Amino acid sequence: MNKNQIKKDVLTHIKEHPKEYPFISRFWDVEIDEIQTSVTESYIDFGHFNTQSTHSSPFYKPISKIIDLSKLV
Amino acid sequence: MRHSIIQSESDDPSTDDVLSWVYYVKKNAVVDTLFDAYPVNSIRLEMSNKENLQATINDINLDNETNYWYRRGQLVSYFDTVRNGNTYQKKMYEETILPIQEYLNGSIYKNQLNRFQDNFTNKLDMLHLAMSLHINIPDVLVTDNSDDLATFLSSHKKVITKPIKNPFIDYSTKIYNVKFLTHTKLITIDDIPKEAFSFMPSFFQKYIEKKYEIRSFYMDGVFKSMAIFSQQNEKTKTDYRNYDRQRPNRCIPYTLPKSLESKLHQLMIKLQLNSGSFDIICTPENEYYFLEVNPIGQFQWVSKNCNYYIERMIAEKITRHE
Amino acid sequence: MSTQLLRLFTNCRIVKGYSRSVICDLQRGKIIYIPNSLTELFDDNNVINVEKIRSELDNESQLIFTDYLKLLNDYELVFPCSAEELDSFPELNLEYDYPATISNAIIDFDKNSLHNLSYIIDNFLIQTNCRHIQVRCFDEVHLDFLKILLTPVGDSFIKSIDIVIKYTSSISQSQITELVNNNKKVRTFTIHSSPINEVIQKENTNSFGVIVSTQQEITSETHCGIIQSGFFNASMETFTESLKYNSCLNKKLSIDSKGEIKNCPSMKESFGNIKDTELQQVIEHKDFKKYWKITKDQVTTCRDCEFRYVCTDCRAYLEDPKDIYSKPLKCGYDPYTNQWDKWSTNPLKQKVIEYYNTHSQ
Repeated sequence: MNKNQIKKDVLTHIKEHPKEYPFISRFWDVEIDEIQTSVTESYIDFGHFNTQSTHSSPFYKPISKIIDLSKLV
Repeated sequence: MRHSIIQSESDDPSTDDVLSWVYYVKKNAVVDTLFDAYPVNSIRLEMSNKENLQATINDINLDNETNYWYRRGQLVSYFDTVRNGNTYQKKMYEETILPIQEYLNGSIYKNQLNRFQDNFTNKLDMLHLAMSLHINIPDVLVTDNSDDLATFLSSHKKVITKPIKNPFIDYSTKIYNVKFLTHTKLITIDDIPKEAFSFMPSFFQKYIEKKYEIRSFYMDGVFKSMAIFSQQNEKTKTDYRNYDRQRPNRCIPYTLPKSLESKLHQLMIKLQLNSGSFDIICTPENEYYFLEVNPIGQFQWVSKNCNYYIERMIAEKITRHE
Repeated sequence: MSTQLLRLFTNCRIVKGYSRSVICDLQRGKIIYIPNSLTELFDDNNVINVEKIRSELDNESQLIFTDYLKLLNDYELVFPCSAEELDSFPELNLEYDYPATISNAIIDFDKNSLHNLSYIIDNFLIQTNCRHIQVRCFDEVHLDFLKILLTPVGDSFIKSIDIVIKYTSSISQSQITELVNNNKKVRTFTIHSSPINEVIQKENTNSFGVIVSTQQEITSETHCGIIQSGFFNASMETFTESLKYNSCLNKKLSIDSKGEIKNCPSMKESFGNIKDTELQQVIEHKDFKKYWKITKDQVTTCRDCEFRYVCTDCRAYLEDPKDIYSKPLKCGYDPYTNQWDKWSTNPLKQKVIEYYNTHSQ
């Protein structure tokens, strides 16, 4: 059963059984994703903070100015 | 035991931000983190007139002097699986584990910011309380049929509909994740089919014209507000959460009138919340309308756009008493 | 716009230079040039009273004023604000604070270096809450060196690392790409002294993972300190920091290639060597924070420059090495003429460049 078919079925069901859904359902965007069982996005760990994330955040300014941008062009 | 416990999700950026501040404002801060679905494998609680509360969760010792921040996540016990078992097991769970969990999820620490129970703040409750405190709310209709809606529409002309609880609903089958996404929809009389029909009870509110929207972070009586200019952008006009990543709405510091702050403060007391993020509309006529208060919402963008250092405020609060 | 009063959004800051101004849009990270004559139209509340100004202008100026208003509206820099609303929009809090004693660190390596990053993280970076680092290698390194470098980075609370290495035929481009893509804390990876200039990999949606190859030869820390507009940035942190603190050295710690602990590898003063110096000794040294509060407003020429709050500055290489308040040597911008010149070929600067080259280390 592919995603588009499921989406179609869901939207049809909403249309045909309005009593089972709230009013806003007629305007719903339906998004279908496959559940990733094997490949999960790798997490970055932050050591003793015990926090983690799928991505990190950069420093707000360049740490040193040793790269000559004019030579890069 | 004077240390800090943070209960949250391990990938919540604000938790990481606050931790940076915790380790900075309090050198050698002692922090225990209870992240995600945190498994409670052993529990000991002691209450006495002399010592007040003393407890141990797994290998973490705490007492009512412990600083506690609830941000996200939940405590789960080994016995949680039991409650889906037969009636006998279910009853056992309700009589033994549930009361302990409810207790731990409440306000038990002298210095505590939010609690798990805040997740269940009811939207209709807060609108009712706001109304009783004479805070303007957009007129509300909850109904299950299109005739009622048509009447409401004819008097208010423009109406919005949104879910009462979460902005989207997630369903999972064995293979797929199905998401229903629509935050807020503006409807007019043309959106109602001619034939009367019924639906599940749905939430409608009069659409309020906006000059700008206000997001205000509240903690212990202090308001840190930000004005959001969403009206210049068609994409964000109805609900600023329909983000435009290319040209983010202008967000600048704002000060709510003292009289409104005082009423909102009363609202928080009635809701038993010591922190939350308010969504408020300011109309072209300079009237303020309360939309909702989210006990555990996003504050990073308010903090960063307005240079408020909210993360530092939280860090200072949860390392107090050390 | 029919409304009378136009207020500048409080996160848009006007910086007046000698010959022109800029508006630093701190929210959207833009630097917008405006003439000083427009700057002067804003009152003390950063409001332009449209009707009042129009009533005072001649015909030709009216057209110019209309152009000014169009510019302000195109960049969404102003909004209509009534007199009663002024107090509802308070002035922006310009305080700079950062949750770390040391916010960023540079660690240099050459073929003789004995220090290792793991030790530095455990003994210097964790205690100071330093989560952003740059590692610069002046000589060739092996792939293993890089892997050993990145392991403690990945395991620790470090948020980002920028790496600069010398081109070596022993490491292939695909090995570098694989290394960078498997280590999501690598923000930029630059290969210097390379046969070609090339952007090998662009930044991803989170601004990480840039791999660049440059023909520039970076043989030592003496190549640092270049002032270029490509490094200017308008953000809340850089702006507020530059008002009260030094844009480069504030909260910075460095370990040079010899293991000497300094404010930056290009400065002379050392606060001890990594092999036998404790962090506390460094932080508590009376001169360690000496340069942290030198602002651009205190620096000759820079104080008249419209870029002074978005610039990166450099206190190590100066036009007058004897004067700590002199303009950066490697800045070719003249705020009096608004011209950028090549500083490296400027005869006046050549002498000073020689001075630094002979006095390095």
